[in-house]
Amino acid sequence: MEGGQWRNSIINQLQSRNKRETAAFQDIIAFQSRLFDNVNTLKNENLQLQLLNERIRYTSTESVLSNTGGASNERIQALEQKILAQQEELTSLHRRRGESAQQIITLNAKVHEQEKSLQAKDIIISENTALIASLRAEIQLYETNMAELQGLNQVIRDEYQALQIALSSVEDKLRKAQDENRSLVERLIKYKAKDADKMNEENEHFLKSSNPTAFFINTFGRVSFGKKSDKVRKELEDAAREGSSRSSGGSGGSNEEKIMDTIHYYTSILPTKVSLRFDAHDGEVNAVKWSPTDRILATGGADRKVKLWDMSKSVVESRGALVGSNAGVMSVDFDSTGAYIVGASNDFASRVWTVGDQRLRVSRKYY
Amino acid sequence: MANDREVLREIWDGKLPICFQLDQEEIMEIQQPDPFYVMVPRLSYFPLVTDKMKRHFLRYISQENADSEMWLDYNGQPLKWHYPIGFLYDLYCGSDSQLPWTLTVHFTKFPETILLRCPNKDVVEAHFMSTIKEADVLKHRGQVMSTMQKKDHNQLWLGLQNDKFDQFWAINRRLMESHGENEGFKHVPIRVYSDDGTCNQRLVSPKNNDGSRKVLQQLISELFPDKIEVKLRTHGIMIPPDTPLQWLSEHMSYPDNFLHLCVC
Repeated sequence: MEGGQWRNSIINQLQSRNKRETAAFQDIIAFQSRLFDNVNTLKNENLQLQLLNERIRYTSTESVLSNTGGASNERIQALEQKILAQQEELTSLHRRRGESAQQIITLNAKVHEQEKSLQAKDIIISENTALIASLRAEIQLYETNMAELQGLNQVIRDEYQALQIALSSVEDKLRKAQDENRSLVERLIKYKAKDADKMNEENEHFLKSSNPTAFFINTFGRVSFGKKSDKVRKELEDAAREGSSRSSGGSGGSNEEKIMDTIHYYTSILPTKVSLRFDAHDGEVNAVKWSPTDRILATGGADRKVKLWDMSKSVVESRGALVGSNAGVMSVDFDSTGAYIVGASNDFASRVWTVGDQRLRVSRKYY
Repeated sequence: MANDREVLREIWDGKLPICFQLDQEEIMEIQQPDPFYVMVPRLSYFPLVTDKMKRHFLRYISQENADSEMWLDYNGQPLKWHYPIGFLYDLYCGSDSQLPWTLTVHFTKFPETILLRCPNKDVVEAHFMSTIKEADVLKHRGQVMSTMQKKDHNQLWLGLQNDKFDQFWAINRRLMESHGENEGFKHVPIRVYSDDGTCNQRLVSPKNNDGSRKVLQQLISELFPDKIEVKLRTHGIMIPPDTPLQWLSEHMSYPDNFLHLCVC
């Protein structure tokens, strides 16, 4: 433990300090603070008590008022209050009466208005009844009209039915007549066929017996070619080689007959008259050939086409163009049945078409 | 070695009677509020002891100022809450002591330029702990505080707050021990204040260059070379000039471990 003057001095000073500053005031301050707290609590208590007191006083005065106040006084007060209430009621009633009077007036006005509208509506109703009556009369009229029209309609319908029946009977007749007609036509065709046969027989007969050197060309364009006639021609040529000079009766025109009769050498007749003339191709026509069976002419042209022409009527009709050649067609020919046609062209090829459907069947090239 | 319990106890028991009065301008009631008397420990701080006083005066001020922060002044001088109460008393009325100490309470016109804001007691605790740490850095290079646990720090603070001598010194004595091979602190945490409140803090070694103990007189001559007669006051007493600094620091420091000395 360090000692010395300075320590003693410090201790002494501290002790005196504490005595002076702390001990002197400790008790007083503690007492003061206790008093302070006491005062505070008492203040609070006092406040609460005052409040309580106030409340009690208030309630007591109320009870005093309600209990002991003079009865007469009270009654007077009650009566006054009643009077007041009555007066208020009265004024309110007055007010209500005024309101109701106002209402009555307005209602009266409304009644007037309603009456007016009622009258207007009466007028409208009467007008409407008149209108209805007139419309009824019209309806009556129309109904009668309709009845008449229905009667008429019935009559017309009856007539129509009668006519229908007549029509059907007439149609039946027509059908019968047509049947008859058809049978007659058939018969006619038969007769015609017989006639044609007979004619052919006659022709054969004639050809056999005719001058074989004669070369007949019908000016009407009809040349009868056929197997029979081919045979006939051969026979005729044979006969011509034999040199028989006699000829009997021409089947052609009378001019030729005369010439044949008078001149006893071979005659060649040049066509003198153009029967038909048409432009077959765009360019030269290189080949012409008759069909062996039908009256059809085939032509081959430089426009690389083979064309078929129908000559059965007085005018020429085109039956079609057979295409496929790559160069101008130089020659055409039919087969013996007339179903196929062959064309030779400048492109080193020959082609075969069918006449019926005009289609290319064979195309061959020969080098 | 802080083992002079007698001195420590005397210092700890020092209390001041204080009379709080509400500022006249702020009274909003017809009735004048009574002044509030209380004994406060010299070592404590104002925010720790003024709760009851504040409640008392709140009844007398206008409601709109009730939430604003309270502050104190003595003769128009605002009091800084982060200094110990006893030190403030020594600073402002050490020479002509007049007890009880009368302070004025304010709720408006907070002097922002002079005082720090103190919204709650956590701020006081933070300031207190930071001052202890600063002192420990000066004494032991901060080794003692950093080895303490959180609960030790709490015990220091609670001991001060609840005015428990044993609780506080059980921890604080570790801070007052000297460490290392040589006796004594590295430096003495010391603050010397002039009359006008300006603070003077220097690195002060407890020993002279030749290794002998430094006494207060030598410190005074170092700090005030041009003045001859300078006396220093702390805890309300004059310190004898031949007191060794080491002993002074160990026994007469405030709880924040600093020696707060006033020139007089």
